[in-house]
Amino acid sequence: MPCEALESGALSDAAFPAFAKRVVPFLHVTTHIPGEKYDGLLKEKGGRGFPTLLFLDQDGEVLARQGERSVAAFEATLKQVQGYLDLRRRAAAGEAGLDAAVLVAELRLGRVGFEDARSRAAALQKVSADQRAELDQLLLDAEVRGILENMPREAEKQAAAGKRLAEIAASGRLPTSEVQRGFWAFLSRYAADQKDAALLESCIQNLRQILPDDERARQYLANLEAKLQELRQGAQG
Amino acid sequence: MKPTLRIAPALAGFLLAGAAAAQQPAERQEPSQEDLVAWRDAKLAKPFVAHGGWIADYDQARALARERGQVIFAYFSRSYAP
Repeated sequence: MPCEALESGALSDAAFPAFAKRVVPFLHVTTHIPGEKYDGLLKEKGGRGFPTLLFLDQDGEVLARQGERSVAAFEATLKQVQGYLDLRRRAAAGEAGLDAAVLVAELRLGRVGFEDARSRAAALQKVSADQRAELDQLLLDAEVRGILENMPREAEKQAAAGKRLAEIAASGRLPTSEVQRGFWAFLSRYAADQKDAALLESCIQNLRQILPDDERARQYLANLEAKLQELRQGAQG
Repeated sequence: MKPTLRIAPALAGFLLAGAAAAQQPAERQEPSQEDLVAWRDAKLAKPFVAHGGWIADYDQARALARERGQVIFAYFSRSYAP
């Protein structure tokens, strides 16, 4: 069970109590007990399943969603959140020239969607070369994340999404971070549907570098390899 | 004279059992209030809760966050189902 795995894993880690002292650790349990206060809180925060880990501010506003489940990852996100809050305070106090830094921080935390971020990035006045490079990468990640998270059910629209992801792969600019796995996994399905052996082979090579070395991943890659062989034989036949 | 449909006895028994089941769907047991409370309490008593010093009160968590100038690290779980 996912909750059990988290509870017996990262949340029981010897390093967790030290992290917990740097935050307010709040455990919300959805109980379905009639009249229970805040029983619908997860839905209110935009959560979709269990377990969900969120960083909230003092008013309960969502600051970031925690993906990776390790104390080191919790610490890394906390540092990003604190950096973002510091920027927000300084901007609210009237400090100028922070627009690019705030946008970068919001993109890192997944607080802004691709379309909104793209508009804001286009309007930025003073952007250093380093910030521009980071923004371009973060915008690409946001675009890919948006495509994957909002994948339509209709086959035709999925094909359109796959086409866009294939364009991104062909451009040589690739997503980083946690969207990589979903990016290559979805593209591999698209490549198989389109009978594009070259694209499928590229997907397999990239997935091999990203996926953990465990039985489940090996089986998944073996299935993709079998599909690739099928496509090649079909092309020869 | 119309031919009669002959069904092997074993198959007939199977079909009758199926028909009986279709007429009497299994009743789904909804948990009682006592069950839901007990499951919630069991969740809150799990070792990881004390290990991390988790606060289960949302109002208290927000008050503490304001008092300490800290952010809230929220773990959303459930007790009404496994």
